[in-house]
Amino acid sequence: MLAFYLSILDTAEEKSLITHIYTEYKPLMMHIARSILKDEHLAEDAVHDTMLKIIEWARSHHETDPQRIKSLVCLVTKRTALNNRKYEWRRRTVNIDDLTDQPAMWDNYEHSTYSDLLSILALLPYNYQEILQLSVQHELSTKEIAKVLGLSHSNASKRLQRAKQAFGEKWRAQNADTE
Amino acid sequence: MLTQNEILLLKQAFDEKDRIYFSSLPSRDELLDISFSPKFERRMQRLLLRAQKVYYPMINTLAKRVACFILSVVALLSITTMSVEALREPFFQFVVKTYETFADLFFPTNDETAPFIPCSPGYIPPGYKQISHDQGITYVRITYRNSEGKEITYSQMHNTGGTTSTIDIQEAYFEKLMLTNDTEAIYMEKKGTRLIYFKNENNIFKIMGQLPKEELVAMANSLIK
Repeated sequence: MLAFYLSILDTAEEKSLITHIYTEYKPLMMHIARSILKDEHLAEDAVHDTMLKIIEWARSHHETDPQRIKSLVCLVTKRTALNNRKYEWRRRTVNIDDLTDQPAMWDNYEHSTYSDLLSILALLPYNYQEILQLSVQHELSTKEIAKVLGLSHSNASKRLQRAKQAFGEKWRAQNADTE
Repeated sequence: MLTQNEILLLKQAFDEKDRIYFSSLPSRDELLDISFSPKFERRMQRLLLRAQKVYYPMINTLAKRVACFILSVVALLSITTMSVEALREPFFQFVVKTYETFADLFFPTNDETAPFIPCSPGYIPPGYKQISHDQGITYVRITYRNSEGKEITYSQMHNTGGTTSTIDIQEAYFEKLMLTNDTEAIYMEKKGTRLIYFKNENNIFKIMGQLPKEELVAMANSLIK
């Protein structure tokens, strides 16, 4: 009986978290998706797909830090929009002028406490930064990462391993130089 | 691989990176003018409602929804069949009928390597004449007919590796008979037709026709060596 009540409680928490994420970040998700896809309808599709992934995530994680939630929402929206854009490229011809680079994420880090780390991260390909962030900051399992990125489990695992290796090598090389 | 210390530092760096990134994003007020199509709003409402269900993980993809639908239909049909007497009775009658109507006769083999030697009955009831003779590598089938048009069918099959014959026993009378040389036989009567089945050496014999039981037994005995 206790398990039953606990399951109801969990679901109630999930419900409020999912609804909160949607109402709070809906415009932000749309803004990010639209900046990548340049199309209202495609952006709406991306927001919908993002919410599907967020619902999955909310069922297994009980994150309460608003900054972390916002960070994940931005990451997932961006990845979903990029994946959908890739799909659109395959599906139809898109004017190359309509496509912009990925949104800038690395402005003004020189004055940060973590400027060394951030400058190393900035040297890594975006795929590596993204998977490291999902794994290290959001503590997602490889299976969850694979779902968010739209990759197979083995590809996600391999990419994560390479990202950690690339970051580790650069970080240790920089530390060796400064010593 | 990264050390625990590196992972901790990296986590803090990502938090810092997020703060920088968020400051580059438009504020909530600046995003107020973003509008959504009514179709999208309806779609999202449906999604949020579905997500609130306890069984959401079972219906979160189209394939799962289709599987659930098929299972529900099968379950519904099963429940309906079992709960409505008008449907349940014919269902059970069908099952019972299927198992009650037919019987399998199994004839084990004594010697699989024994050659097939075709033979025909030494006694034929008076008035009957052979009208057809069909013979293969492992069987013989002969038909006899009298002036009244009544027929006797005689079959001999080579029994290699054990043979099973399925017979319709619904509303039939049957008994076990002893032929000459203690040969066991199955005798059956149904709607005026009489039939005898028996095994001798490595052959299975079947004689069938609208003739008296005694004549049928005499025909069978004429085949036993």
